[in-house]
Amino acid sequence: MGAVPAPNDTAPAHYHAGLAYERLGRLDEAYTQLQLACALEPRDSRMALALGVVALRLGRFEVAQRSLESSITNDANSIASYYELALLYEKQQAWGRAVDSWNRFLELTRDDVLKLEAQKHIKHLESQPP
Amino acid sequence: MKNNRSDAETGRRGDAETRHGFFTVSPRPCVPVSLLLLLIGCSPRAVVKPAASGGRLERIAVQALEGPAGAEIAGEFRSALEGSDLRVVDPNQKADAFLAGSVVEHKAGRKLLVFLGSAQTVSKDQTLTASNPILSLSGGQTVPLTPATGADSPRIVAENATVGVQVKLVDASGTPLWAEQYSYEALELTTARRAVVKYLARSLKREVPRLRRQPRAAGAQP
Repeated sequence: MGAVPAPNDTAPAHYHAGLAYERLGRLDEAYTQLQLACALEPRDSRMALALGVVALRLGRFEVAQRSLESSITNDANSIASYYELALLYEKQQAWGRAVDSWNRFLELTRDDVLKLEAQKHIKHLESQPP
Repeated sequence: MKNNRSDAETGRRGDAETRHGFFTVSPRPCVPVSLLLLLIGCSPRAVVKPAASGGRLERIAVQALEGPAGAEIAGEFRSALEGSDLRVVDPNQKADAFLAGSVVEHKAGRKLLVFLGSAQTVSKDQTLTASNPILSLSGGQTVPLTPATGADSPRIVAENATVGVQVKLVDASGTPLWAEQYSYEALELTTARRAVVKYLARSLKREVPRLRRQPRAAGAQP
């Protein structure tokens, strides 16, 4: 298990410490550091996305949703945020919001495998009851 | 199957023409009826035989699927088929058809790579900037990404679950009637499983009226 240097109290320092913990698989510590980063820099889309991704892996869905939505509020082209939000909305059975997220993701992504995945999800969700 | 169907259709047409001739344009109306019946009996017949269920499709038994979580998924199929006009019975009870299959994928930690920041791609002589792109790790990106800033973009791993199932419906004699497969990605295995089962169950329910109408040749493929 590697050591992560103690961050000074700036958003970038907490952000990079959070990413370092994530690489080590220490997700709880990563989550804490990324929360501190986002509290200090609430308008940074990358930090919000990173927190959202880690929160999803930890099953903290409310924090994940808030962070991912904040990420697209600050950057309307944040591709990964739409992908993660689409899956989260599906879990919540918020079909309409999920379809909107998949459609936006489809417009932005250049990954062929994920494009096909998005198209399949849209088709699947369009057959769901409203 | 095509050949069988073709033979069957030809046979049915032959039958119909014979009957048509008998009732309306028979050149020898005075031929004894017993002889006519004999002739009809010798005319080309469809090779279609009713399936062991006799074409009836009401009681269906869902067998445990092969592969990870096969028993659980079979249970979800039973629930998903409840409320339809199919009666779901226990696999060791008498049934008109059996649903069987396998779980081909059941993975919780499917990894994707998220680039935090901007990255550039060149496509058709155009440089495009992608913000926080996410990549599948199965080589789906057609154009390599380079960080827009010149420095290495920080990356983070996103994870989701994927479930893939293939199922088939066979009648009591083992003749396949219908088959389909589907896979789905979700945040959790339970969500992915639910989506797969829902899709396949709906697809089967849609198919049932056609299966009930269709005469089945012994040994025919679906």
